[in-house]
Amino acid sequence: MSSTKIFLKSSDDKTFEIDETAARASETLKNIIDGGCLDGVIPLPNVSSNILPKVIEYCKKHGGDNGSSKKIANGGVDKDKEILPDYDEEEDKREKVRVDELKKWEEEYMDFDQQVLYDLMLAANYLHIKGLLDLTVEKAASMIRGRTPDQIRENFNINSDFTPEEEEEMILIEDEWDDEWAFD
Amino acid sequence: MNLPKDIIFEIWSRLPIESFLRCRSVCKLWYNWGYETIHQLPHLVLAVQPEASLPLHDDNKISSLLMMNVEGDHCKTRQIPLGFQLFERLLFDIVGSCNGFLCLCLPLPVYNCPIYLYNPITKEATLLPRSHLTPSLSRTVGLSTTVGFGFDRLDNKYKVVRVHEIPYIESDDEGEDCKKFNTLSEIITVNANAFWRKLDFPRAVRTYKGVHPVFLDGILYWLCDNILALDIHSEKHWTIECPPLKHSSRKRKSLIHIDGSLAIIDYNYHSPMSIDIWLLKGSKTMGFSFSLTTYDMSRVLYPQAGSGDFLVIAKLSHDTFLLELRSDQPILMNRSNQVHDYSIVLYSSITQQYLSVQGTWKKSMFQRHWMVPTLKSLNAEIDINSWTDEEDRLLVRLVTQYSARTWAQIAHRLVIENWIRFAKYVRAVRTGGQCRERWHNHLCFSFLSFSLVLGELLQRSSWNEEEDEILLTEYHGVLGEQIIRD
Repeated sequence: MSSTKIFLKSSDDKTFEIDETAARASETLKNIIDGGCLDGVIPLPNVSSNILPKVIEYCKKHGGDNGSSKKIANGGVDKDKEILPDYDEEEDKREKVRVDELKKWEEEYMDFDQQVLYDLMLAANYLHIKGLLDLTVEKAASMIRGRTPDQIRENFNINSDFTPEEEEEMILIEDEWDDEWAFD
Repeated sequence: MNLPKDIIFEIWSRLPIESFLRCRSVCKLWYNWGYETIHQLPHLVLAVQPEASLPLHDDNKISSLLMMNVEGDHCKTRQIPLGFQLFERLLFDIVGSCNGFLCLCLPLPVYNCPIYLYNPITKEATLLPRSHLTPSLSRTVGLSTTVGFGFDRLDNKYKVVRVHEIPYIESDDEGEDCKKFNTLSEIITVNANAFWRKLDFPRAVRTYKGVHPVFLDGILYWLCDNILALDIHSEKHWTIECPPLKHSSRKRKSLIHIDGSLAIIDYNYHSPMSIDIWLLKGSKTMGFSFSLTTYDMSRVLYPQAGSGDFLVIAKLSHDTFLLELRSDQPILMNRSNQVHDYSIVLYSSITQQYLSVQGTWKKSMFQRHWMVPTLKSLNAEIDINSWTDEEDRLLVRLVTQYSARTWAQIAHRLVIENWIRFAKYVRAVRTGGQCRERWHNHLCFSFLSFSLVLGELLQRSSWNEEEDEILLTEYHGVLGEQIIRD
């Protein structure tokens, strides 16, 4: 496919350039392109200029190769199923190196603070970039797993709006999951 | 921070149940969303009840359920603690599951075995009443009972069916003794004042001992020589003729549901191993037919050379089976080396490969029930959440008697006494936390509790020190000098 350039305009009126192949990683953009309503610049009123470069970076890395990003998500389990007749060892090796590289890149890519994470989640949701949404949502889920409500509130910047009585009731529910009650 | 609902749901769908529940106590918005979400969470959960020797606890009690979650090619298991105790040191069977509730029953050869309905997520349990149709708790040699649990969508009610098969010896014409069976069947609609009713069910059907019926689309199915079906709503039964199975032994066939239909699985354990799946099609009015598919299972126990067998827990998409496997040799994919393993494996019959192996238990009996977790409260639905007078009195008495124990033990006693004394009605099973709350917030200083405790204590000739302690600490404030004078 020819690398037609596409221009995206962020909410604060800054314009960014992206290859068409990369832009196709986003369902929303893909639909706009395929729909033929490409009119120079695509305005993205929900994405700010802080986040858009980050999104474009992801698309560039993943544009056009949806297959391999899926492989990462499955954690290499695919390997067991791939017993094809024309099994090419060399090809497999190269693929593995590429997947490893991509994993490493993702690790570096995901190194940012909470605010960026939320904005990125919103952007990925809005632009329908499945891989990016999976990546960010998984990170958000890891901020909940095994945490106390207080820690979750801190991680997600939420204030508790329960009254003290309700709070106590919540703790009661919590404790039932933990252990037996001592007689008091 | 305001994330839209769909993103929050996306995040929650990746959480284990415990973390998800904890999220509800973060803020009001999340709490409300929590009730909405749980039904949409893609957790299809398999409750597996391991017998006795689950690695995490060494005594004979069941303290937790094992839940398994299958997502694509992976399955994850986790343990969730059991919220209440049944009679000590007794194992229970999970006999059925419906709308996120489990039906638990003690596997004892007695008529009036306690039956519980249990939500493993909220840990709320409901105790069904004793039956007055069957002799109370009397033991019968060779009695076998199967229990079915289903939901009547038309009336919006849960029903439990119990079929007892009672063996008796009869002499035939030539004077030889032969063993015959009588069937006694009863049904209960789960609501506050429910009682067991007699059910019209074929006599002497010979269902298989310990094999409970399968519930699907409002109908309970028993596998015996034929298939017996019972419509939960109309309480009418009919028979479906079995296809010609290769094996008549009950261990060689099982009833499960596959892709929303009922299926009989016919196992061939001889080399090369295979299974025949007979999928039931049709309806009562149109007539039934079975379609047969045979799956090659010859490499299920490959590459280990040992012997063993397997059971199909479920058929997932793309010819992938969830199997319970027993083999003499450790399964190669599993690093931790154990002998005589019972494992749960995900197996593809096309590639003839294990996709994953989950957990190994030295000795185990799994009970396979699929359920989608729910936060619904059955006790609230049938309105038995408030404490009755009898329960209050019982609690007060138990608190005075078992003062040195924990609330969990008191709750446990309450279950047993509830069963023995007031087993006429459907009851909520109280947790330790609920007992504690009831005592401290409602009973502790009430007149009822005061008079009962005093009555209880005065009746006895001698008090022990603990009771003195209670009397002084709990009631000194109310009665003051009076107790001491008495």
